Amino acid sequence: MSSEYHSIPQPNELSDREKDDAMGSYLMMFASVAIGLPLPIINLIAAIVYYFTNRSKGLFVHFHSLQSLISQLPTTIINAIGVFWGIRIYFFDWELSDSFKGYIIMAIIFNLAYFVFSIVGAVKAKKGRMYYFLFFGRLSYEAVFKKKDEDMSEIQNLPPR
Amino acid sequence: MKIWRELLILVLVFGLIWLAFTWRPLSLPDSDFNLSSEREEDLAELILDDIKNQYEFYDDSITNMLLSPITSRLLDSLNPKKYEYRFHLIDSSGEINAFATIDGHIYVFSGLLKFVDNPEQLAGILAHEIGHHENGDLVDRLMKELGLSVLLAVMTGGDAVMVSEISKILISTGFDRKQEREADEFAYNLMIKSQINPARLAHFFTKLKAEEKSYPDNMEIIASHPNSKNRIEGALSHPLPKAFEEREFEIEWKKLIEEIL
Repeated sequence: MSSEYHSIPQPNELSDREKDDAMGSYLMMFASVAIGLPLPIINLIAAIVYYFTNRSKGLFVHFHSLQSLISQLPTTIINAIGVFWGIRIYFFDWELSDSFKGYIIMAIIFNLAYFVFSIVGAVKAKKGRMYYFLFFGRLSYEAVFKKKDEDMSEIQNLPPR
Repeated sequence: MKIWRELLILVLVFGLIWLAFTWRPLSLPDSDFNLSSEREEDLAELILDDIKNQYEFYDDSITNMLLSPITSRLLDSLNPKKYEYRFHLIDSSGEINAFATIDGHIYVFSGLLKFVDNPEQLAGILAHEIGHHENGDLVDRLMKELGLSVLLAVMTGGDAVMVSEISKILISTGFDRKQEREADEFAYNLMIKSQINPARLAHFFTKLKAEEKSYPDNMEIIASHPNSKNRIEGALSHPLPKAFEEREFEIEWKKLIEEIL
């Protein structure tokens, strides 16, 4: 581990509260998906709110809520495109084309994969473990654990001289 | 960088799944059971009885006099035929409609006969209904909607409720757009073979569209197609063979209808 990165918190260093908050970032999605299904944007808003209220609760929670948020983006976009494409077909009387059917099947597979990964993520987070999604895990790790410039010259509180 | 490689993998997976299912779309497996031709015949008779309970029918002599010059020309050019076609004329001036059930039965409302300007237009509509039969749309629809219970209805000798349920489905539910387009396509080709210009169907749709307001509820089947504009264009733009020449029916349609209906 290079010193450019903050060290990763280990399970025994984490409080139950942190583990629960990290797990919550994945579970939030399930609650909001139920409300937001016709409008896929709502779960995204919920994830953003959750992220901003929880990111200050330590690197572990910050990482998991960020991973949950950004991994939601593509699924949300895929779903939104599917919904609007479907509406266009419905109202403008276009054909149910093969590419649309293929797209919907692809969207279903992506949503299922996303659900599965979220559940695994939630379980791991509850156990205090890190869990890296493909691409999003690495991206979140870079964003959360990489030391910013100001961190490099860390200000240290010192006892009175 | 690893992160770009992972992004690439993700995008590739996305694209490949989409492509794969576009190229080879998942289709629902066809029903394992089929309606045998004898059963189809039995069921068609049961449906005919059921419809006879709901509507008044014209005598065969009147039906034949009005329809057979048209139907015989269509059927002569239809080779091979899937069914022995039977046409029924229902006495209901208010309904501008025609529908097909199964086993080659086609029902025409007298309102349609009064509405069309000439026998060529009627031929186009009948050709469309024949198209549904020849394309197997009707049995397909029954199987999709009712499946096994259709077989049950036939085997048990026609439970009245079941049969009326079946005829309701055949009369009221629409076909999907692909089936409609294919039946239209079939109709254009059959019309050309019968020396009738497919543009006649376009004239009919145009008239139907123009008078839609004055007949709000009675044109469900024929007019239930939301894309009547496309159909008009489709009928007008259908390519005609080089030496095509229309052979009009030698019937004074309006006069005949006035006298008989």
